[in-house]
Amino acid sequence: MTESEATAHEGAQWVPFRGDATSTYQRLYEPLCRMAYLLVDTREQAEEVVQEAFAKALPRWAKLDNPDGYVRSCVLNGCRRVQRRRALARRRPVPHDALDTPAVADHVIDALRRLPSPQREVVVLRFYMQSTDAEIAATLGIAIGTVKSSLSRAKTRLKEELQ
Amino acid sequence: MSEIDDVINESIRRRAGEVRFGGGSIADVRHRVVRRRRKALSIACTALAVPGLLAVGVVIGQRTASSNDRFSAGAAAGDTATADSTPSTDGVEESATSTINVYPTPTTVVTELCSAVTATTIDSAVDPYVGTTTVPFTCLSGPFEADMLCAAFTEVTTTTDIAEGCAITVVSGDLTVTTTSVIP
Repeated sequence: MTESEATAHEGAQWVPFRGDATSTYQRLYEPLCRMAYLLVDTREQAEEVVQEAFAKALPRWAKLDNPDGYVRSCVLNGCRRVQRRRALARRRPVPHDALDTPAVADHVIDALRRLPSPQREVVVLRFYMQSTDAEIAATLGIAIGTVKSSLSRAKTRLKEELQ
Repeated sequence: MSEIDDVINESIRRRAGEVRFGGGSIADVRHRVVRRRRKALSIACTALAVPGLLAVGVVIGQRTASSNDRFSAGAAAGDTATADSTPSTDGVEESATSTINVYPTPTTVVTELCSAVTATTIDSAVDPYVGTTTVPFTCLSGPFEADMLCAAFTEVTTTTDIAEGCAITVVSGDLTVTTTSVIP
């Protein structure tokens, strides 16, 4: 297992933490990049989104009540923006070969890509960030009931596609 | 946790772990912040500068046009331009040929015209109250003065009874006074 895999497998449990910008950056950069990578599928764009999120948060860092949550929301918004631009640019789903393809063919990831964006975000936040329903609801700005229903629909759809 | 949860969990973690993210430091982010600020400043400057330049252009254009009009009006009226091209404001002066040389100061122009019109209108008209009388008015030069004259003359007729009920027009440099109603 590589170092990065180990980090990923340790789980990116979301522990609210209020620290200075540098330590927060060091602590969150990689987990957020991985989360963004699961949503935008390319390493460069994932890093770009995360850096941009920190650049947005840095000038107002002292005023933020929950810097971790703010940055995470910025990253999710950035991922949505990337997906929206792709959709506008091509008016069709991104060709499979334009993305960083998994080292091993993974039907789950393929099925995950085909999920609607909100459902995909909920799945990533739940299964990669290990967030609770309440945390997901707060991050995405939706009701807890919506989180539960989205997660349920996403899992049903993934199950159907994998069978 | 159900079976599908396990499958999703494992796939997502495998996918997340297959790429290394090493690039970037907080210093890069700080540079990015500076670039964002510069960009915002540049956009703000552009947003302010464009209307500002347009406004300056309009003002310069208006001043130039105004200056040209005054110069050509003064030249047409035989006024002598001074070194700074500022026309005299003496109003009306009699020339040797009894032509009224006018440089537009409406009040004095109209004062002179009023007396001319009074004499001509009342003395020469067949019906002193209804009709059209044309007063030779050689001093008018260009639409600028004609317009000014009409506006000023109308104003004077309300304070005097010379041409009450008259419509006044300026045609080809002649002042035409048309009586449109009978003055009791």
